[in-house]
Amino acid sequence: MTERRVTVARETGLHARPARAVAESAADFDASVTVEYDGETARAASALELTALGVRSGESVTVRAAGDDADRAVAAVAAVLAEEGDP
Amino acid sequence: MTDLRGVGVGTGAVTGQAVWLARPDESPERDGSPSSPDAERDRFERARARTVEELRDERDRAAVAVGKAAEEVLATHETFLFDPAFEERVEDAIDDGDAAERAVARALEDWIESFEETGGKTAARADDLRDLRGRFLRALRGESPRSVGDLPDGAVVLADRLDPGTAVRLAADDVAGVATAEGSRTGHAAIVLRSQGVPVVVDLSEELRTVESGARVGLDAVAGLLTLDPSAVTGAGPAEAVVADAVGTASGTPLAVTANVGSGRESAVARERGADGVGLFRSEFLALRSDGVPDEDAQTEAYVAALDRFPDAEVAIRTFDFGGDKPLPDAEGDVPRGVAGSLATPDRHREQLRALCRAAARGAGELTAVLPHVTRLDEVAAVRDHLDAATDELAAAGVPHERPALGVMVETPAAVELAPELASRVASLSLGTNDLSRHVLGTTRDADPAVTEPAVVRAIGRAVAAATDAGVPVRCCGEAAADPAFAALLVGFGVTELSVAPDAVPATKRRLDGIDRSEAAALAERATAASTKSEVDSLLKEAP
Repeated sequence: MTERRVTVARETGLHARPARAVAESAADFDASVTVEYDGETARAASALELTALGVRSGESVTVRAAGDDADRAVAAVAAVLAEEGDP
Repeated sequence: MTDLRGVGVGTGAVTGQAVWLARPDESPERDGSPSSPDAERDRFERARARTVEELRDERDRAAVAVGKAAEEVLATHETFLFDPAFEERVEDAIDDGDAAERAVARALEDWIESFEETGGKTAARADDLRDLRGRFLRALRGESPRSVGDLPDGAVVLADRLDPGTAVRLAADDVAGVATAEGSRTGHAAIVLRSQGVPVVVDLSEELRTVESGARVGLDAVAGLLTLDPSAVTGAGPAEAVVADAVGTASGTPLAVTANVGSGRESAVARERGADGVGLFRSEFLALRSDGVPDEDAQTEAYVAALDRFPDAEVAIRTFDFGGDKPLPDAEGDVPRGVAGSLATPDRHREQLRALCRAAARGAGELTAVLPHVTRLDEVAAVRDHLDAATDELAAAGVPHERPALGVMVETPAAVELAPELASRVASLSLGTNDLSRHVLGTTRDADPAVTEPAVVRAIGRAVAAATDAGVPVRCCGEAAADPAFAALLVGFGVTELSVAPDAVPATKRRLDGIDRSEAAALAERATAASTKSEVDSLLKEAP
């Protein structure tokens, strides 16, 4: 299990379009990646679940993954979450 | 009632005829009982494939007619269709014996509720799911995509709530304004309409229902007001309200919205859309569309056609800008860009200048010849020498001619550095923001460099300031001019003419009319001080 805490830098928070970018990045890996926020967990591959978390800009989430490429998957998803600006 | 208060989105005030949009049929019920889960699963897959096809088709059209905001919204819709969480819920419902309609409607309803419970910007995304639900149910019933119907010109569209897909169609249809009972300023429908300069007021409450189709209404996006007393809003008739003949700042400084064209025919379209002239006639398109560079007579005719469309206005014709991604047909070897390319082919350049001089004498409008990709003051001097020679030749041959005014494109860091000297030598500067961004940032053409990078913003600010100091007008004829927030920034810097695609003229006029110049100037000052792109982007969200 790999885990990383990351602050969402997108100005609009994690809604729809940024969620789509996260889901697209998670889809490149075999590992199943999750994003936890405020006690709720969403699959990184589901833009619907990510959007429903309602994460605002500047707030922190925990990215977790298990599996062969877990390290790379967490790094990739965390990088998208930490990106500034709207995709 | 005479006044309803809601939340205004964007800017502008319009008057027009109220038209209610029909409520979408979102009932998941269908005749007959569901067939087997396998058959319902097949129906689901077929309807999903059809919805994807519809979204992609609409996305392509929206990209052209409306722009990037609409394209992004529809791409996000497509992602939701294949979301694993959505698929699971549909699968479970079908396994439990639901028909595909009910399975889809329930799955999306759960997410709609969940988004709304979360609140904030997430709640605004619920309308995206309503949009998808409508599309999916229509696909399952075998119905065609919902049409917004035949709207009268200059209609103010009323709806309980607006889904983003309908907003895309309304924006492409050029409606005057939109008012909704529910909705949020951060909803995708509002974002799409705002990006097109359509004034919108959302969240007007159930009271909106008291306004009947056909009523004359006024809508003020700044005040967040819908009124049955339209004279309180503008006093202008509907036609003037849709595309004002002349637009200006709140304090009365005139602003021109002109068009970027590549032919006389496009100039006619620009005229129909209310353009105040041509800010950029891309003369090289005459050659790129045919087998090669048209001869002097053919060029003269094309320029005259554009000038005749604007008898009381200016038509800025850019001299040939071959090279880069626009190689001259049959050109051998590397051709230098812009005016350097023209000076490297003096016979062809002289021929174009003669055509411009002849057109200036014959055409009704006022012609300015604009030199592209200028990097040296010598280039301007050299063109003047050629212009002298061209007029001498025409005079000797007894051909009627007139010397056009000369302008230069500012699209290289060199031109920004030389802007004070250039401004003292020519009649106008034209900002080419696409090329300027690319060259300032040192990126390739396909990298889509952002105009909101601080280095680009500061380059634009410096060039405009140099021109203003010299008393020379500046126009902007890059794609950025059609972006509503960026247009405000340009006006804040002191740009007085924005040249956009003909289709973007009405929206840009609506966007700029009545803009507060001092607020725009404050925005420009803050943007110049910003040190990251995201700071600039955030500031633009507050654009007046």
